[in-house]
Amino acid sequence: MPCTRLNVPRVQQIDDDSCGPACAQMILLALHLVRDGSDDVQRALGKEIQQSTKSAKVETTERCAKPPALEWATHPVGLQRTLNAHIKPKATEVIPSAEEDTAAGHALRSVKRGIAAAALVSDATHWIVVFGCEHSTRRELPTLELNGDPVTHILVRDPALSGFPVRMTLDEWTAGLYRVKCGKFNQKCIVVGAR
Amino acid sequence: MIANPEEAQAEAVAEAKELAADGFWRVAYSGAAPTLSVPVKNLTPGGHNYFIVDFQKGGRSTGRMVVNSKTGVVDLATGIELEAEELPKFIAPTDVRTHLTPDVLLNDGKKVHIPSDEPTSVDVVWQHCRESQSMLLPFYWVHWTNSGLFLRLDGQFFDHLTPTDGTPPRVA
Repeated sequence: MPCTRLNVPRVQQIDDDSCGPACAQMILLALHLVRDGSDDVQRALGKEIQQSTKSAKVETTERCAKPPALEWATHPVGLQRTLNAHIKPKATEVIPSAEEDTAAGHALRSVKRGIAAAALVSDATHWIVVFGCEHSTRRELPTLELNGDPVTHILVRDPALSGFPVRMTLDEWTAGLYRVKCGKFNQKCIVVGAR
Repeated sequence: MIANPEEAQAEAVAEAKELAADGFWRVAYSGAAPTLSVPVKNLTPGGHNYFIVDFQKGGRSTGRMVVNSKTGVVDLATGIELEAEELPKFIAPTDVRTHLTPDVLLNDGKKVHIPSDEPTSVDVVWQHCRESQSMLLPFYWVHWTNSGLFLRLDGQFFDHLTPTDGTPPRVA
């Protein structure tokens, strides 16, 4: 049933704004590059993301065609730079996609390369971690051929659900993934992972 | 099309059987039985209604699924990975009243005094919102004649929902 699955420990976000740091923590924990799943490590990663965002000089508030403005709690560039600071330079990239299926392909390619991917969902207010996929034959389901694997489900960890694994159909992935509505990534789905 | 909680539960059980055969999901679903199947009205524009089915063993919630009422497909499944673990609390519809104490502490720290009379209705709802970013965490929307509250499935109270789909905040 599994097409690819990384061993990613679960982490719960410590507050409403900490999904990005919690995702970074899960991705780095899987690579044994941070100490543990503690709140202290998550707070430290949160600070690193903010500093990385600041040094990248990216806008954390982006005006859209109509209000409200887009407020990034965790900017994709800050998240990517923080991951790379721990893994290695250029290990991950911010990968924008025009289609949800393409974004799934990018996320799962990163997983195949051994790095779980972060994906932007829910109106740019939430990050989740993609750590694998499954292929179910129990009933007829929408299926994608991604990186050589038939895929019916994406496996994610949602730090708002205490990081417990969630198996979602491709329809749910499409419904959950968010297309940014303004700014640098306008009309794109965002994945941060290895290309 | 899934018409009632029993049908949703039957689909969830079939899915659980498949998952229990996979080592990754075995801890969550092997030997677990469905204990609750609750219909949820999806208030997200264009969203589909669904059923949420909770699986337990030894009195602990070990697995949980979202069954799409339109397609009959299990769209989401989650579960524990270690035997000692337990999923976040699932307040049963029959237990909602026990959570309605005279003074209720909201998630944002505010305290509200609730009416002493019985609620006029209790609906199970979900919407893409900041207060819940997953269909696995819907709300009991408790109404009184002149007021209301949202009780999230895990026990957190809110006086409004902040949709992330561009629609105005939904006040309880």
